[in-house]
Parts: sequence; structure tokens; C-alpha cells
Amino acid sequence: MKLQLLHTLTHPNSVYAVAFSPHDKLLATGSLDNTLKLWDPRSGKELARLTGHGDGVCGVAFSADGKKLYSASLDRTVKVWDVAAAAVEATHSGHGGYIESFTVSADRTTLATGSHDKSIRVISTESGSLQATLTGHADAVFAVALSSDGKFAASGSNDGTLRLWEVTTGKSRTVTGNDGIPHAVCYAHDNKTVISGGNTGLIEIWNVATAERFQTLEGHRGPVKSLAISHDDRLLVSGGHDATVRIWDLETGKLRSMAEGHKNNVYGVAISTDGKQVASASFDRTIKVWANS
Amino acid sequence: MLTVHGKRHQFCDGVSRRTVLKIGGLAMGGLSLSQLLQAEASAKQPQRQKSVIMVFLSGGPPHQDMVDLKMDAPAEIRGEFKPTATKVPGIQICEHLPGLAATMDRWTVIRSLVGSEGRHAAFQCNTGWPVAQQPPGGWPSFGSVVAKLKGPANPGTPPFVNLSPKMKGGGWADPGQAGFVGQAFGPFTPNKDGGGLTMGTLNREQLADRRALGQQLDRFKREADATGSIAGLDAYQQQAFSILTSGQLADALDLSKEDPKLLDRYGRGSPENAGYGDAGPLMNEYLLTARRLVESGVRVVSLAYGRWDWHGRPHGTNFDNARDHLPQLDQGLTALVEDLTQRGMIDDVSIVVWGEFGRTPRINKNGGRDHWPNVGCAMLAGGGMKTGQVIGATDRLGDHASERPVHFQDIFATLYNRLGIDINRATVNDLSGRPRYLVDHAQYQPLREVV
Repeated sequence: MKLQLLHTLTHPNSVYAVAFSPHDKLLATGSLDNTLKLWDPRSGKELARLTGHGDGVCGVAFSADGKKLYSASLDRTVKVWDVAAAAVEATHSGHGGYIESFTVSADRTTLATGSHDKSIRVISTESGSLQATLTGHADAVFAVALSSDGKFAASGSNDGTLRLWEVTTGKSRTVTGNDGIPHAVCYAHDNKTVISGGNTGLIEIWNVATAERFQTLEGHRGPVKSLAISHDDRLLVSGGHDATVRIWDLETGKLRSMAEGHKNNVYGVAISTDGKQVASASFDRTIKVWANS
Repeated sequence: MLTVHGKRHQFCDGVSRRTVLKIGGLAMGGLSLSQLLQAEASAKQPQRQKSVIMVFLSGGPPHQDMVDLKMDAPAEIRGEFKPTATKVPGIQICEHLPGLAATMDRWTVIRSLVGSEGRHAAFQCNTGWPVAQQPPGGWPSFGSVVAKLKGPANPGTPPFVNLSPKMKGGGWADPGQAGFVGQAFGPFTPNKDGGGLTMGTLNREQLADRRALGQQLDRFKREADATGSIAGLDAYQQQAFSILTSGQLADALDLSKEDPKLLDRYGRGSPENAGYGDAGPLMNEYLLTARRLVESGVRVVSLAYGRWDWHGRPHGTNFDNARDHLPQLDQGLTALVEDLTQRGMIDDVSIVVWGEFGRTPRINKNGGRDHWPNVGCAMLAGGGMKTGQVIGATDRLGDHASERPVHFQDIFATLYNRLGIDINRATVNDLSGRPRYLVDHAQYQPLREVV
């Protein structure tokens, strides 16, 4: 398996987030330039630039039908965009500090934001209503993930802990023995597994039921900054402080491929629905679209 | 223009004494011409027009991650970068500045910059003075003082140009106030409205349109009136008219006249403001524009470059940002010095690169470094200065200057010296009529190591 570079796309400032639309027809990116861009991932053509946030954009995700786009910003808000009109439909606020992490559940019913106010806000994508505010971290929440139905969450914080949450009750467990500050976290689609990216380069795979680690992937040099899992839970994409993008086989735990095209931290990665493309967003102001063959 | 060469009656740019006196009457405002000539005569006399390019690293660059790496410090201070050897034996700088390392013989690194007011503003790098307790009318920026003392080098170019665009933040957006020398000597700001370098709202065709020209001049007048400092307004109008009609400035701002290969050597960048819209663009083309401007006769060109206020996540760690900014700055500065050298201009154009302060030795919990007025760094090149050296030092942690503290005003004194202005004699009256020295010359003098 190889990663072959298809396109290098750019923002005028560092890029934090990237997401494919449900049928892989669009790619959305979010940047410290305070804007989002929409691209055709096949041609690499820029289709639209969405302005409205007052600070960097740290998270992007499409709705299930691809008609809406959700974005989270350091300006403490989440915006809902009409993709066709490239216009804001709604803005959700409430955090008392920067938002740094963002996720949407696989069923697209729920989104969550992690903030420098140490909390996680869980919001219904349909109504925009606040479902829960999860508190307990002692420092900024650097990473957050939701189970596929949005009922459970996982989070990593600058306090060095990885927590597993039950959203409805707000109760959490803290796993032990993790690789320092978890900079990235994702939920497998089976909801049984959580994967975290650690501070010294370890990717750790946890059993949600027992909160025990059952696998470790080694390779990154320095913190693992971003993770994305394929829809069939077989492949994991990771981006690192070492500016590399790696694809791992979750069944064997082996590295399948690695790309070194970036010049700075890779803050965001995404894998297309069909698994044939990977996109990586970097502090080097570029997004790279790779063929995964 | 006003340099006197013994008994000769021809000045450095070829104009006659009679012409100078005529221009002096227009452009010197309330300045005593005899005082000016006296100051000029006592300074070392330049043979060709001297200029200064001022690169302001808005936000405060991290001295310990650029030119003063602290490899013996604990990990929470040392940072992520490694030092690299330079062309000058014994001098090491950051691994992300390879171009500067390879040309270190053309640079002077100051590792002991002190005297920062600690304010997030361009003011101190524009004027040399703190914001607090300004004299009546306010301290003039370096470019405005030079404009006042030297006037335009030729009728078609302003003496002082600032290339910074409009920014959100007030402090970094300051293009250099005219202060008590009067708005007539403020910077020409072709990028003021953002969106690229233009001659105000006029295009080339409109320059030939007298009506449009009149409207533009009216705008300049309104801006001058709005400041309440209207001394020299006639001169200002005269100068604006000359600039707009000559086409020299428009030509200097037009990079399409340059070889694309040279543009590639400088590196490109983005015209959008860096950071979150509040700081200078990371735009290497502006460094090339600066060269074209001094080549056309501009005496002082200033620009804000990038956003260096790196407090850490979520706006990227200090080191994320450094990996982003340093290579681009490195490419641009290396190309600028090389370009000026190849054109035979390097000894006539002084370059200063600095910000308002250094950054904290200890890396904060978000991977950033905070403000550190205790000590910072600066880099000098060109201008006939002695280069290939480091001036000053900090302690093991980069906490304070341990050797040869260099004040902001020492550097301004050096730059004035390079322009042939004697800071021990030249004064300009403030709005109360009190003569003001350009720097506090009792304490600060041109750097003996470079002049």
C-alpha cells in the first residue's frame, strides 16, 4: 500500500482541519486564516471560501446528506453552513475559552467541542440544543471523539489524561498508563475501541469496556497530532509532529505506508468513504490529497 | 540631498545649492536650515544616497529560537531546535535559518537588545522611544525624522514609505507616526487599504487625469488636517503632486518589471495579514519592493512582517510557528542582501530586523513563549556596517543581557549615523518649540562595533 500525492492545496495560513463529504465529492478544510475552503478532491480545484469566523477554524465535518457543513473555531463558536449557498445557517456559542477540538458522531446526530475552558460541550446537530457539558478535566481539552451514536465520548487533555465519558450522565473514567498528553483521539465504528495519539509518538488502542490498552503502534517521532479511522475500521490514518502521514493496518498493527511531504505538524487527517483517498492538513499551510493504493 | 562636500556646491544627488534651499523652504517646515547643515557637516559625509529598510517582526520574535539558542538550558527552556554553524566560525544560529547561516559574514547579530517598553506595538521600533510621556505632538518615527531632515531624494519619490497593510490591531498597524515633525513627513502608505500596493485609489490611467489627481490631493489634505498637525501642508501637497505625476513610485511598486526568477529567489508568500488578520503579512515580495523603493530614491522603507506573538496552542506552539516563519524570513532576507550586493547597493542600504521584545525563557504549558521585555535580538546588515559578528550575550537561560547591553536607541543612533545624521547635534523642535535630540545621546550612541 502506498500514498501517492495527488494535490497540494493551500490556505494563506496554517491548516488545522480536513474532512471528506459523505460521497467524497467535496473536501472541506479549516485554517488559522479564519476561513474554510471547499475543494473538489478529484481535481484539486477550490470551489468556495467560507468567511465568518473571528478566529482560526480547528474542526470541520459534513452532515449525513452532505448539504450542511459544521465548523468549530477558536472564536469559541460552532457554525452550521449551507454548503450550496456557502452561507452560515446558525452559530452556536457557550464555551468560555478557545475551542481546540471537535468531532461529529458517525451517525451525524451529535457534535462535540473541547475547549481551553476545560469542558466538552455536546450538541445535537438537528436542533442545535446542548445535550451535555462534560467537566472534569483540569486543563484544556486537546482532543475529543464521539461514539457512532453520540452517546459516549473520549477526550484527551493538556492535564495529561485520557477520559472516557457517558454523555447522558456526564460520568467519566480516566484510563491509566497513557503516553502523556493525548493530542488526538478517535472512536472505532464498533464503539468498542478508542484510539489515542500520545505525546511521545505512541498510538494506543483501548478497550472501552475495560479501559485497558490492548495494542500500541510505534513509529511517529514526537506527538501524534491527528487520527482518522476508515469506515470499515480496518485502516487508521495518523498525522504527527514529525510532519509524516502514516497508514496503519488495525488488524495486524503494522504500518502500511508513510508519506513525508509536509514541512510542519500535521494537525488534521481524513480518509474518504471508499478508503481510496487520504487528506492531511498541516501547519505548513497546505492540505495534501493522497491516493491510497 | 543636503550633504555638504567642503567647498563644493553640488550635492550628493546632483542638485544645486540653490535648488536645495528652494526645496528646504518647502519641505523643512520650521527646521533651521543652518542647524541642519551644521549637523550634516559634522557627520561622516556619505557619497551616495543612503537608505534604511526596517523589517518589523510584529509580535516579538523569540531570540532564543533564532540567533541565541540555549543548548545548555533545561528542556523546558531549551526548545525544539538545534543550532547550526554559520559561515563565521564560532557563530551559531537556528537550524531553520540556513540562508542567513551561509551568509553570516554579511550580518551583525545583536543578542542583547534591551530597553523594551514591553508594549505590543510597533512604536518603539518606529521611533526608538516609549509610548509613555511623549513630548507635545508625539515622538516622530525614524522615517519621519529622516524625511524632515533630508527631504525627498528626488521629486518623484517620497522619502518615507511604509508597506504595511491595514491590520486589525492598532499597535502593529502603526506605519510610523509623524509626531511633532508634522504630518507632511508621515509615511507614504501605498498598502494602507490592503489588497496590494497601489498609488492610493489611482491607477496609471487616472494619474493623467487632473480631476482625479485633485481628488487624491484633497484626500491627503483631509488626512493631514485630521491629525491637527498641518505644518508643512503646502510642501506635502507639492510632494504628493510630484509623486503622483512622476510615475517613479508607481514603477518602483510594480514587481512585474522584475525577473520572475528573482521573485522566486525572494520567495512569495501571502498578501493576507498573518495570524488572525492583526499582523503584517508574511510576504517576501514586499522585501523586493523595499529594494526597488530605495533604488528609486526612497530613504526609509518600513514594513511589518508576519506574526511573532507565539503564546502557543491553540494558535500553534511557538515551534510550529517558528517552523513556519523562520524559513520564509530566512529566504527573503538572504535574497535581499544578495540582491543589494549584486546591484552594488549594499553599502548604501542599512537593514534592521527586529521586534518589540524577546520571549520568555520558559516554555509555557501551551507550548508557547510569552512576552519578555528583559532582552531580545536584532539583526543588522548593509549600510557599510561591519558585519560577520555577534554583539552582546545573554546568560545561560536567555533571561537577561549578560554582556554589552544594546538599547533600541543605540540602534537608532547607528541608523542615523549611516544616513549621515549626527545624533549629537541634530535636533528637531517639538510642538512647544523645544529642541529635541533624535535619541537620548547622553546615554546612547552609534554601535562602535559596526560603524
